Amino acid sequence: MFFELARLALSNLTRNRSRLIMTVSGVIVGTTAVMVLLSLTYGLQRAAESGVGASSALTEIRLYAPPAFDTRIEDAPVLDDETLDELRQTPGVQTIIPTVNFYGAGELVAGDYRSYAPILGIDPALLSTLDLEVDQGEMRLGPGEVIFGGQVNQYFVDPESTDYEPVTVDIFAEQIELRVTSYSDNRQRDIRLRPSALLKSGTGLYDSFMFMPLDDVLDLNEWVTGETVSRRDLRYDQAIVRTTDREVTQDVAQVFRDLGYFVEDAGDFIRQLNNFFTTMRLVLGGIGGIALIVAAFGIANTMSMAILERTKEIGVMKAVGARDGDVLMVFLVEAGLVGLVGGGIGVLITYGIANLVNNAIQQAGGTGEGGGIFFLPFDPSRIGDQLLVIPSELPIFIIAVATIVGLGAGLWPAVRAARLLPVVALRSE
Amino acid sequence: MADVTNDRAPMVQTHNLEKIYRIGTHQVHAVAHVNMTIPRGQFVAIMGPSGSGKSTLLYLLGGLDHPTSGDIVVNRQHINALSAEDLAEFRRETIGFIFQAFHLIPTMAALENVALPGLFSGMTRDEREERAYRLMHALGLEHWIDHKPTQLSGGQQQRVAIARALFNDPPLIMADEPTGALDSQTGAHVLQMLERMARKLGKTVVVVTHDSHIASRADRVISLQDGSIIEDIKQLPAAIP
Ligand SMILES: Nc1ncnc2c1ncn2[C@@H]1O[C@H](COP(=O)(O)OP(=O)(O)OP(=O)(O)O)[C@@H](O)[C@H]1O
Ligand SMILES: [Mg+2]
Repeated sequence: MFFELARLALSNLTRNRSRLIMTVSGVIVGTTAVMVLLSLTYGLQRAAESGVGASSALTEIRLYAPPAFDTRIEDAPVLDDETLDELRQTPGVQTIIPTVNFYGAGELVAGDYRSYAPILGIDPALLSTLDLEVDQGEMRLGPGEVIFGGQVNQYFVDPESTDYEPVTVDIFAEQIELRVTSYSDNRQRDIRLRPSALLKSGTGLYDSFMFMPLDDVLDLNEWVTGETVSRRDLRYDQAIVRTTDREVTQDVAQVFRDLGYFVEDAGDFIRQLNNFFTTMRLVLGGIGGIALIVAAFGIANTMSMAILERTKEIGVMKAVGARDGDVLMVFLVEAGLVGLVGGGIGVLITYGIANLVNNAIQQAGGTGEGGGIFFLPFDPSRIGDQLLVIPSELPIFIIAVATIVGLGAGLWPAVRAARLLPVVALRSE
Repeated sequence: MADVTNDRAPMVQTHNLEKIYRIGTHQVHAVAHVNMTIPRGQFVAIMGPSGSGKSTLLYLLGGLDHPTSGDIVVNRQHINALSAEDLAEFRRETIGFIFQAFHLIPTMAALENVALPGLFSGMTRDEREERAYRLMHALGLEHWIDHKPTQLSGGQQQRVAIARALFNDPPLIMADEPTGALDSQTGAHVLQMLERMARKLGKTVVVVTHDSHIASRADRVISLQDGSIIEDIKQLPAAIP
């Protein structure tokens, strides 16, 4: 029955061709505007993400086991060699690098100056998988050696001074010592540090950390706490997970979260980026949406006219037994079809526009001058070859929206038609 | 039980039927206190001067309009009490309407027009067209199946409209000046079809008309003036000349 009524609606549509074409054109303009603007935001987002994609932060997750004393968590997950081997099997995981914290204060002494830096103990064999960038020195971690985070050298202060003005210490020239204090008897010991590398500053996660060989940190911890932990029973404090691809980072993080681990990832950054572009999409989509609203008024107007012209027919349909719902259906389907067809054509046109624009960008980039698209706020090579990116679900979304707009615009006229008293419809002129 | 009473129950019965139109402070009694009973199978002509309320009465009986007050029982259904949905079903199953201006859907071919009532009773397209075809064949309209209304003469259009009214085989046929737009010869043909419905198919036929020729062929002539019945004559229909 629905299809029968829909067929009637379809044949009614083509009654007044020029009016139909104008109405559909309105929808085409509206949907094209919305879709082009949205695909622009997707293109820009891709460009922005590819800018940070090189940064290893987006493929990195930090994993913490819940503290052992937290008895609220039953079967709390742990980080030991056995579970790590299992976790490494998680799809999307490239490597997992476990680390142990130094349990002391980590006070650094350089002459009159003092500073603090948390120390991570790491298996030197896994160092290369961490993707650290060296500013000075050499990437290695022999026994007794220390890798300094990029900003550890910059925040030394003189405790005697009044202004606490931080100074930068040349860690390779000055003598740096780590002052460790025993928990049990407050004995102090200064250990001479042998820097092997200073990392590049501003890389984010490890700017204020120091790396030492795992065994060295275990020894220090033993001295500080007075407890001996055998290498076999060792529970790591945290693990650095590197994923195969930044697209999977958030999924992998979720897997670990579900296992009960505490997880930190660059998701916040990605979320911020997503939020920004979501806002941008709402704004630009809204601007395009204005054209769609205008089109909706066009549809509403066309449907009102059509219903006025066909008032007698509505009376006839009711006289031969049409329900209010049947009449409603005929006109709603008609309005919905206007939206659907307009949306469909708008989508096709957008694909055409996207091709044209992206080709033009590619060619401008290809000349090597880049001057052709000076108005873009970033290097066209970053865009790759696509300024307008159309995600596969966008056309479906657009067509659905256009159809809903059509249905919405046609609803009120259709309801009015459905409610017409047959005698009024039949007597109308 | 249902069958026996069904046969004896009148097709139409009204009680103090009234339709008042208000235009500003002015009131028009289009139909005023009409009490009438039409038995099954009767061929009734309703006559009266223009504006006397003939069409209004017909629309009220057919469930196309709401009365201001009074009751209408058609085919044992109390139609004032029907919901919109049931009223649609009532019009679909019980009433066949024929209008002076034919009221065919201009975009549809004759066959589709005849089959239109089937669209709302859930018949498939094939069922509808099959029945419409047989009906048109029976009424001698098989040549006009694919014609659009504009490609038909007035008489042909009205015969298509009659076929449409018969599509669901309703017991009650209502015609509002069915020959008003036709010349006397085609009008006579339409009249013959209406008579056949009453005499051969046993349908109850109510015809609003100015045509005394039609009236002379009816079992009964009801005359209206200012919305009231002023004359109700039962007669032996004139012999077919
Ligand atoms: N919608 C309406 N609003 C106000 N008055 C109406 C309306 N419809 C009908 N009338 C009035 O009701 C009265 C009866 O009208 P109706 O159409 O039933 O007359 P009729 O007997 O069919 O006339 P005709 O022979 O010209 O068709 C008339 O006075 C008419 O003006
Ligand atoms: Mg009339």
